Amino acid sequence: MSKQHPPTSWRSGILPAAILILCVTHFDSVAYGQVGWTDQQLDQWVFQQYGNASTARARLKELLKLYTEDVDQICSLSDAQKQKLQLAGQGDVERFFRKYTEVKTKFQAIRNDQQKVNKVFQDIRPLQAKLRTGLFDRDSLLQKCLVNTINRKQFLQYLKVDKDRQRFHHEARIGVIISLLDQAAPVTAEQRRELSELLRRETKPLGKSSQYDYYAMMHQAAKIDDGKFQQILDDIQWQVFNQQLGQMRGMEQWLKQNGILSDDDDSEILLPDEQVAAE
Amino acid sequence: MLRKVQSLQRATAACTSGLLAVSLTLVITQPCDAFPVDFVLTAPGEARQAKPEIQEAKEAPVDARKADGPIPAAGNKKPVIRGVVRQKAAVVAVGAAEAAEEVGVVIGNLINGLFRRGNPGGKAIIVKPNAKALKIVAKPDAKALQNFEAQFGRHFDQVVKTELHFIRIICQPTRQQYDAMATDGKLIRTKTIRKFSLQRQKGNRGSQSNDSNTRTLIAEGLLLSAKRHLSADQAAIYERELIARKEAAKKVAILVTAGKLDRRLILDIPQRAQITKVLNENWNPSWGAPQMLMRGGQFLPDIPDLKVTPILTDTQKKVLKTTTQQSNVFWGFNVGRNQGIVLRDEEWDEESKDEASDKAEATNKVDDADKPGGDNAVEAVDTKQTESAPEGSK
Repeated sequence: MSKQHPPTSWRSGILPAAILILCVTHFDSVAYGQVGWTDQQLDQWVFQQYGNASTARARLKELLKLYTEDVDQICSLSDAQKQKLQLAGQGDVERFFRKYTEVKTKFQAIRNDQQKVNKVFQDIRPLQAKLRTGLFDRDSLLQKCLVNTINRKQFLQYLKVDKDRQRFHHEARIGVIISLLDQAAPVTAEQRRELSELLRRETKPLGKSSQYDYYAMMHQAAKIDDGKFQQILDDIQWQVFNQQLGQMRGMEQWLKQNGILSDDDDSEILLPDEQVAAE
Repeated sequence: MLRKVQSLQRATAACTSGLLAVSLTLVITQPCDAFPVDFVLTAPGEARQAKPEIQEAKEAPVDARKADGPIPAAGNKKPVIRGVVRQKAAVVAVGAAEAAEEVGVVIGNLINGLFRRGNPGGKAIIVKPNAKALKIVAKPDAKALQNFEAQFGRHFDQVVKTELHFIRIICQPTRQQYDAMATDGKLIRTKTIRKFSLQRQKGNRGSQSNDSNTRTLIAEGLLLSAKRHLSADQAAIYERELIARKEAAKKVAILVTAGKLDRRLILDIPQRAQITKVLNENWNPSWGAPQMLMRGGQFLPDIPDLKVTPILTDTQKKVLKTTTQQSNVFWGFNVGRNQGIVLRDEEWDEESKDEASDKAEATNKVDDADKPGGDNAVEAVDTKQTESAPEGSK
């Protein structure tokens, strides 16, 4: 037991030294603005829930497949029609990734300069918004191809199902507005019914769907005449609801910037001959 | 030398087994997920004077309590053994407050975690209670409670106030009836704050609960109070409204969840109807958390996959399999989105309208002066959860 262990003090110095080196390296890079963002970081910013480009591509392909299967089930597409839709959808995916590659090239050139990286966010935001609201929305090649590919009968069938879907989501969004009011200032069953009717009458289904649907719906609700709500709610309920609406007033610009609202949200899908007539 | 080492090993083994025994004793005294809140609507000395409804509730066996039924009052000083069977069985005892709870929660969570990992099928594990050790505490740390109350007390005030206002709209109580219920409301508020403070402490130690709706608890307490102070007809009106509210909230949460699935899987009309039915039959109240409703398609709650998949096509099944479901997201407690405003006091005939609005205005000014800004607990959690990378990187 008298044997002494070898001295270990030299080992205990390794960790502080390593930390010191890391700190010096870090502060040095920060001091010169060399943040050194990686490609992975860019991918996380752009693809968010998908994480990276390859996962996003795989998910978008699956979504396209789901979409064409849905249209096929509704309209009984021919093989040629299916192929056209697939191609158009792939075009949308490729268009998105082309924009992503442009942003990536730009990013790689300035990735060590924080100020310039901040500027690249202006290019990243539209990509995020596109992924958020879906690649196959009304502006997509797929939708444009759809109206040009299917015949009138097929189109009417498709429109019927699409409207049903819109109504379903619209009902849910109206329900959310009332439910959140109910949690803040409870309303009676009768008031709930009247509010639903008012919102159904005065708001429209959203053209684009995203995680910010509630904000977009409240933005619409905020445009309704106060008096109509006050006829249904009492003073305290209105005080609470008006505060909720107040938060949404003036958000139009933000909603548009993030691709949640667009100027042509009210427009309906038109057949090519109807488009010509409209023009 | 060797003997010394061996004796040291024996001593260590003895200590370890002793610790394990203590841990197991604490585990059986530790609730799994839920902890009971017992509303006592009368002060301890007044318990005997309580009206029949409350007394009945007190005497009701705790085991018979249903998730959506009225919350029974407590007042039992003797430890009561409750069989709380969730994914596993555990025996929970309720008694006086003891400092052992702190250690119990930590070790309990650790071993609960081990049971969960080792028992994924959720089969019941029967643990026999040690009667001597049955001391458990559902009491938050005093300082933490004080801090919690200071931080969130007024949000709970808002919930009680709006609920009492709702009762006034539908039941039209007299001033005396209302005041009596408001007094009960203060006690209910205190109890609810206690519950959520404790839940938060447990959450900080890793034991989370999705039982987040403060209003449900306060409304259930006020329903007992209504039965006590209002006529049977008035109380029945309130009870009916509470049921309707709950049904409406459930309907919306199901619609929203089905909508989220539709957006991911592009369901056809019959599929949407079938999935709505399945969700209705397998309802989970956490689907109705405000964050789940507000952040539309972002979060998909934990849905019953086994019952949903037979409805789907092969491609849809494949997509669902790769879709993340938020089974481990805990949103914190929900106090409703009514922060930042001071609600007017109730006006009665004898009180002039001007006086009441002056009072509200004065309070609003004081409130604005000391408002920290964005003081919504729910929003705080929400923002944290969903902060986007680019903004965070600036």
